[in-house]
Amino acid sequence: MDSTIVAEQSLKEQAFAIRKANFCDDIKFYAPGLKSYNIPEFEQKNPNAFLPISVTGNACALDCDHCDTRILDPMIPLDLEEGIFGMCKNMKAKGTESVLISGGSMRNGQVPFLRHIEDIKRVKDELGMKIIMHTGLVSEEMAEGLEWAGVDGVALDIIGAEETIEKVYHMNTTVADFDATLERLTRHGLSIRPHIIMGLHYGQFLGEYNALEMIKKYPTHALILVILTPLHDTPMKDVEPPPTDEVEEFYQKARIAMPDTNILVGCARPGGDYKKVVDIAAVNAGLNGIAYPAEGVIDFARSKGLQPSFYEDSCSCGID
Amino acid sequence: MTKIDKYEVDTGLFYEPEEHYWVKISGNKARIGMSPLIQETSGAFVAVQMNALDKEFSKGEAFGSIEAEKHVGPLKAPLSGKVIGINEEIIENPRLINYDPYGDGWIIEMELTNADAEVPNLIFGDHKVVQWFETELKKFEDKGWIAQ
Repeated sequence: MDSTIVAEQSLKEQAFAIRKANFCDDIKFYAPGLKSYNIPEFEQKNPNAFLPISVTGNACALDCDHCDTRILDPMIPLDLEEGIFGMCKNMKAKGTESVLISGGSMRNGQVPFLRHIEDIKRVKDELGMKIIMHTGLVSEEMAEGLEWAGVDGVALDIIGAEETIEKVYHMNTTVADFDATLERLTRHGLSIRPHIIMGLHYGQFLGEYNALEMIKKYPTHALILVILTPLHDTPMKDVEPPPTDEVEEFYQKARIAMPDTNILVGCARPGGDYKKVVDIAAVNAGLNGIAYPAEGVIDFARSKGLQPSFYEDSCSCGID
Repeated sequence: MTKIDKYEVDTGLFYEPEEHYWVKISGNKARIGMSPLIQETSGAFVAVQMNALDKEFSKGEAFGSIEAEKHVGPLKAPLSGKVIGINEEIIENPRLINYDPYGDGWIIEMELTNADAEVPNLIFGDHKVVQWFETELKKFEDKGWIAQ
């Protein structure tokens, strides 16, 4: 037998064996209200359970090539009169249990949350809602503020290549700044849910493995893996997403690199047949959960001896 | 076409109100596509899967599935009948549904098997279509499904 095939098989088998050794047989499937979702195996019941708020509306200073503010479009823009607390109070009355507080970045890669920090603390203290902050880079002052507010978790993209920061994000920062952000958040006792975007460098793998090395130094509540999804009306609209075999290999190596950390497949990845292939690969690699799974994947997980459980909040809400 | 808010609506067609399909009926055959409201609120379509040709479906039964930026779900037959044509072009390029919902973005053609009973339940007639579309538009806005 070809030695490459043997090596690939052993990587796949090794990854799944690590899962079996370190976790129970539960596999989590998520369908947050960012999109309506209904497949035969999983029907979303409360699309309001988890909702995203953007503190900057659809404004962002970066104009990243993969996003160009499109990711902010479906978020609920901050109503300046109501403020975050007023909005969350109304949302809670309509069944919302968790919120993602996000927004566009400033030129320094930070999202301007600090002016809302008292409101955010009130949401936690008075409404008891789960709050996940979707930050960019985080300053010391911001980390202190988030700790003070008592947010449940911090999600952020970790970029492991200087070239990607410069060319895709157009930011004048460095990989070391992302490392420093992880250190700061950890030091302040915040629960981190870092994201790695596979293929972020125009469909190519570049800084992903370095990002993984960075993240694994810190206690991580959950690592979220997403895949570049070329969006229309962005400079990357014609970019091919990374090959599925490279994604599969990254899933396996991430599992092996972080054997006892929950690793979840996040919302963003291309649809159709591509999604089916990578979702099956995620189950085979022993990952712990998948957002918006492709049809058939839940049954496939069952066939692997896993017990599915279902959630209507974001995978960034993590594992309770 | 009638302009309702920012939407160009063909008020000469039938509309299935639950799934928001338009239905163009010729004899016992029908061509079916999505209303401009549903295509906008779903976001960009990224995948269409249908294994329906020459198969019979009851009204409401899934004949395929569709995936968009803001929606994943089944495609449910708006009327009972046999699928006699599927638009291969939208399988290759799902965004045609967004770009041209009444034209190149059509979805399937059916031979109807229960038209006498089911067609009268569709919305039809200029005034009724406009009234229905405006009501749906308000409902979608109230639910926050349309970006303001």
